[in-house]
Amino acid sequence: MTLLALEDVRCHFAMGGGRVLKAVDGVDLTLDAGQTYALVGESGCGKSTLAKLVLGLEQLHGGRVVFDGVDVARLDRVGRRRFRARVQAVFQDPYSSLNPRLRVGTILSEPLTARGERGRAVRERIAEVLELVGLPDNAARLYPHEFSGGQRQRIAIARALVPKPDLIVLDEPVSALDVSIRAQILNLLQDLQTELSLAYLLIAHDLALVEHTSDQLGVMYLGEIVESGPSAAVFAEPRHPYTQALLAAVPRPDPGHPRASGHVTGEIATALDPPSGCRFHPRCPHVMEVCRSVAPGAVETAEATARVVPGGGETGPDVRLAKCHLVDQ
Amino acid sequence: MKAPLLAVENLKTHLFLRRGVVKAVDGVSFTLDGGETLGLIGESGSGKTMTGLSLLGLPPKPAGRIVAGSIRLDGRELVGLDEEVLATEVRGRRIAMISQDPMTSLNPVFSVGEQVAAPLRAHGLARDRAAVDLAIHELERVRVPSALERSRDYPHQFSGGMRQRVVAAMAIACQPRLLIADEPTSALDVTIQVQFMDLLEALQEETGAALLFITHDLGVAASLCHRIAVMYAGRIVETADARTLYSKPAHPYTQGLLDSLPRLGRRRGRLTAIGGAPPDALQLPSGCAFHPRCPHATDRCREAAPPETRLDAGHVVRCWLHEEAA
Repeated sequence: MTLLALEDVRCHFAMGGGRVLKAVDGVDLTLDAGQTYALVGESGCGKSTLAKLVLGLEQLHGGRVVFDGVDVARLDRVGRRRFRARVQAVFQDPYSSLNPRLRVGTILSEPLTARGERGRAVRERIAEVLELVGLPDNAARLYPHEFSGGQRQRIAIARALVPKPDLIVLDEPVSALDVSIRAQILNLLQDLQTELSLAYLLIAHDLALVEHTSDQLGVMYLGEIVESGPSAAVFAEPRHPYTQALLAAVPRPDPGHPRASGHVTGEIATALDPPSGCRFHPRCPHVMEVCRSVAPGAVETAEATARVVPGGGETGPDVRLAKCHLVDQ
Repeated sequence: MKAPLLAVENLKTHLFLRRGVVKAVDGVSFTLDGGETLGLIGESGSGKTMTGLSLLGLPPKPAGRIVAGSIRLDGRELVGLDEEVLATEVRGRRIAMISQDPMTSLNPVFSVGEQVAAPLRAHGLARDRAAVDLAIHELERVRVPSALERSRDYPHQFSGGMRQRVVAAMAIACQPRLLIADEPTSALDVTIQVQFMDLLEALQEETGAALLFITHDLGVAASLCHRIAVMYAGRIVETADARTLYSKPAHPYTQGLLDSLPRLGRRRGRLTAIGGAPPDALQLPSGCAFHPRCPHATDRCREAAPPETRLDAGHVVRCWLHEEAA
């Protein structure tokens, strides 16, 4: 069942001098209940802006965000409040995402008191979520600074769980944590997903982590999803040259593995002045003449039924798409 | 046997804070040859950066002090040298550093040509315009395209990857014998990271300098380093050549780190996590500092810190498990 669908979503920023930064420029994706959709891409690709659009923290300049079958822009006040409870977020840095002057109990109770709940129900819910994330009861009486980085991230996760969400946006949830702590938090997120049927929209740059944790994958480059599909399939056989380059560039914890030198050259362009045609063409090892002038459309790449999907509107969860002229042949 | 380019012995750098003493570096020893890359791996607070700063004679002021040990570069003892001598003869001249964030290691109000020329002037290797000409040459060496034109640009006009190249140009300008790179690729995107590692390797081949590569990233270290030293709570707990360390890790901490990594090609399933959290630097556990998190800990581990055990040529570990087996 589709929980979240983004349809041709756009977010543009006016940069002065009449220039426009198209941070998110026509993105489609669907996320099923209980599943993980991972967005990967390098800095400036728009993945964090996309996450903010889903959370309603950034204004939509085109397209629709559809949650549980309803266009979020058309929600009334009550519907919007309900939406805000059902969609939660965990951010990268548990040092800046928790108010240092509030006790953990207060931090955790805020989502409930904000909607008028008081007393015993609140205390019980706090005890419940603390147990879910593996923190002791007395954690509620302490302040964030009394916890380690990993425990703070557990508090941030607990806060997200308080209003019983269906979807949690995870924006680089472990990249600020010590290496030895990351596996604990990843395992916790996985357990919570199974136990509570949570859907995750995961923003990450670590591809090994993404392969480990995601069902669906979207690879972003300069505001667009250039390749998407089931993670297992995309990782097994990436079709877009950018996905191939990203995967090859991942440093492997294996000294015998050769570094992917010279796979892609050049630098990431800016979304303020994206290259003509295919935005990846200046860095692509397979660039053709057509790539320089014509932007490739999203092409369904399932071998038997290669066909262009108009506007990418039919993107079911098992469909593989790539925006590349090479795939479009 | 030829003496190594760099020999660090029993180095101790402590931070004297109001709340107590942090033994940030507590008896670290290693050697490094010209042309060799040693990876110093550890988590935040393990002492890896403090080790790098100690080599430069720059433990954080006023709390930090090298309290014991020796650092010999080309046979010359650096511990105890006058600040004046360190500044003119060592720092930036014999030992140079590339730090993590190129935006903070470059001055926003000077052109990059001027900044790369600065160490050349400071160390009396070139003057005035000649220094800038040399700087342009250094920018070419780090493969900054159109170096001559770009030398007049300011740091904000460069991308992250190019800025890090400028920092590298500053570092190599005075032909140092030892380069310390502290998480130089952590702020870079993966495709740019690969390019920068290629550059570091090429520079090292051209200059024959030794490279001390400080990182928390086991993938990056595997891709670049010849030997690896793993730090935990101020001590090196395991040293080995890269292949051995990744294929036959001997210390439970190294094993735990490698087991806990998600890896490409392996989907789903649970990760094998290391329990607990890195220790509080002001209250280190007794004995082996890793014992509260170690699946093999015994009473002995709680009582005394393990000595170094030599397993193979170049493979050294600090762990009672191995000491008892030896």
